Amino acid sequence: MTTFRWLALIPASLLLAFQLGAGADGSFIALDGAAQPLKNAFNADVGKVRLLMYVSPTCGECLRGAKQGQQHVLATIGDPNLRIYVVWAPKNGGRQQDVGRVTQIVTDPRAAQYWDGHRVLTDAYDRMLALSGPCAGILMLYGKQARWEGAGPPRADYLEDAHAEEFHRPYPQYDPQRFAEKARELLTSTWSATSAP
Amino acid sequence: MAMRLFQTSSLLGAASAAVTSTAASICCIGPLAIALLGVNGAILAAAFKPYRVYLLSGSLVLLAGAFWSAYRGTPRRDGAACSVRPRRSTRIVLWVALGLWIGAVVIQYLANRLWLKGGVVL
Repeated sequence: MTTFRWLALIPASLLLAFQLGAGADGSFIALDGAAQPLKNAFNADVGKVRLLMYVSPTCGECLRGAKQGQQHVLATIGDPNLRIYVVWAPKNGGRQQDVGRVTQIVTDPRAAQYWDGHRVLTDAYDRMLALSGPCAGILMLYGKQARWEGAGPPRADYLEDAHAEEFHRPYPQYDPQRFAEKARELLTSTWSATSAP
Repeated sequence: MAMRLFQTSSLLGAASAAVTSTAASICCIGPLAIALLGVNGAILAAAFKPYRVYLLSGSLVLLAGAFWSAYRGTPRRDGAACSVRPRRSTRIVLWVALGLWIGAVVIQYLANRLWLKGGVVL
């Protein structure tokens, strides 16, 4: 075989390996126009710390952020009082059919994954956080007291942005170790039902 | 033997330029990157993002070197062996690599333009 053919085989094998390396499609819940399933889960978990990943299924940096979240945050915190919601946003050209294959990134059993096809959270967060740029990539922490009352989700107690530097957003650049530390901090904070607003 | 070595090095230069150009561009073409590379590949490509400028610069240097070695005219000297001309396939790879490099720069430019207009990052 000529050198040319051998060289052509390298990218072809890499592409094949990447495609075959992907796991099976996972499950997710498609949210309705009121995001009711997520709202219900969020409020049922009052008293627990909630981590919400607001990510786009077609944005490499978002996927990387979610993977780092799984490896460096979720895998290092075994506390059952942590709940995780992964909200896949229809941003950067993302469609519902793109979600199945990316749900394999976050494998933590405490996590539930959602597709925000009606843009309930997408519009709310974009407005609330004045997000510039086409991608999401925001990782948020809600304290034990947080409750979802209105139509849109409440403001997070802490957030980091995987695209902060790239899109010049005024939020801390996502750092998985620091984020994990913040999650531990919130988990150790005291909370009582009577102190809830 | 010398001819084969020359062709291989020319080809490797061109192929390296093609790979680095592609790596530099694919990190910012989200939906396409995911369709092409799969989830894990797209995550890996995203890691290249901060190095895009260096990758493009490096691949341009490699390209320049590969073009120089493929098209340079070696002066004939008495008693010396005839100059070795690169094979057609080497030059094809070179031009493809140049096309990829230009594509990477154009994609980068378009991505920035579209993003500034609130559109989709390709």
